[in-house]
Amino acid sequence: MTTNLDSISTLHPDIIQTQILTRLDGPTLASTAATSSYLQSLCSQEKLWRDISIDTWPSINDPRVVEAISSFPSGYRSFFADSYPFTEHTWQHDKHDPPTGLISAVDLYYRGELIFSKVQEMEMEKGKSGWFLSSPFRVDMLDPKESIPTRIQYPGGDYHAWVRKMEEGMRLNWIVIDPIKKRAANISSRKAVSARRNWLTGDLEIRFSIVVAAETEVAAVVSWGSAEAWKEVDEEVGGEVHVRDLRLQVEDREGKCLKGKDSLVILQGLLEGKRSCEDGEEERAKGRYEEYVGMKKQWKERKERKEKAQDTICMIFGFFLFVILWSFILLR
Amino acid sequence: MSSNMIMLKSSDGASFEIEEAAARKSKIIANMIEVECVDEDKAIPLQNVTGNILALVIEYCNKHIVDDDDDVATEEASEEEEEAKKKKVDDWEAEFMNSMSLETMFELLLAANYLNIKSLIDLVCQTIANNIKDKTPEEVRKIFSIENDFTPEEEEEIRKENAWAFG
Repeated sequence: MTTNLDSISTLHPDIIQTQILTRLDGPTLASTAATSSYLQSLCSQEKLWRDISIDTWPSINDPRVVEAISSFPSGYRSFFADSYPFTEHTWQHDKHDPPTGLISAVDLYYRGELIFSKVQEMEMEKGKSGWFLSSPFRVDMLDPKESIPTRIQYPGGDYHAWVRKMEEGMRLNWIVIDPIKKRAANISSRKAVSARRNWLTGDLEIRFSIVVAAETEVAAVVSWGSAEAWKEVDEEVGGEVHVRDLRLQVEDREGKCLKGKDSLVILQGLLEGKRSCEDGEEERAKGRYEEYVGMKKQWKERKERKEKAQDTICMIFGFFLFVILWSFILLR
Repeated sequence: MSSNMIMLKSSDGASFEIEEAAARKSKIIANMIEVECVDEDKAIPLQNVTGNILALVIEYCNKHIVDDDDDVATEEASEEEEEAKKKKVDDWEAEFMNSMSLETMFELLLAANYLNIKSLIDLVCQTIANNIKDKTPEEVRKIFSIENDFTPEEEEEIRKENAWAFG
């Protein structure tokens, strides 16, 4: 087979690398790398993948993450392949070895504009590890009193229309990095799956959850409120909203938070799960979540029915006991 | 037309007349004009560019010089007008790129690179990049007539490595 004239190799490799490959997105770059050994060598340059990674997740430009990624088998290329697609949870056999020293890298966008970006190590150092593994799992990206100004305005008035707009415009990436096993995974649903007002605090809570094995919810939650602590956003006046809380928790189907150890096992299953970046994955993630919420409701109803039935049986039993007791006393 | 005209000569001997302002889109020609090594009567020889490609380059430069002039004239144009104008240029560029084969595109890119016309390099590269967006390796090979030189084992390996991207 002779090389055709319109083969891309007539172009100078510098042009291909600096002008064409830099304009490709990750999946196309990976696809192009798989065409020939020449293009593979051009597409495998660390710098390309580093630039595209930092462009997608600005938070990873942090010494702790840079160090972790440098130990990945193919550096940023491995990191991108791990973090860009959705991950499908697979159950792990070695449950006795939960990951340690995980790092979270979080980027929150509203309509394409970066609002919040932060890297944080999960607190599970040795001294506390026993405590960490047996208490409810929760990663807080903000201090309790901290709140992040966003320049996003709540215009006042129609609260529900505003909530819909917020839900549609938000994108969250939450990458969990395991520096020891050299893996990373984006555990956010990217697009929001639900937006609800927290009845206790009055804050708007937007969830970016993924459902694991139809019975557990890995929930990245962003909560929005007024700039002043303990004060709700005024529905009449409106005003700038702040990010008041950004957390990760793992909930069971009753809405209870799982303990540290069980949560880490779930995260490990996500870190090592199969990756997929087919079209419409975001919508499917939302679909799965809504299905899960429906199921949760059914479980709850079933549980309530069961409890009600138990109550009735107890009552009937009690009543008969009462009758028998009295008949015993009266008919003696 | 009051501005100076410049003659360009392609590698296959065709001559083209172009306004100086349009020719200045090329950094190389602009430099030549600066150092005054352009003779009014003599054409600038461009050894690396054939006539049909040079015609495209000139078409592009002429189009964009007109737009640049407009920008100066209507500096206080409203945002909507700006937008409409930008859309007009985008439409023209899309049409311009649509009309050529990939082979021509590559030659045009080489010419733009040789003549150092940044905006044309950007336009061609972006078009090439758009051409292969979301394509499978087989499709990319077909578009660029790339020969698959992997051994079956290598191909299997690289497929596995990139399985996340094309499922």
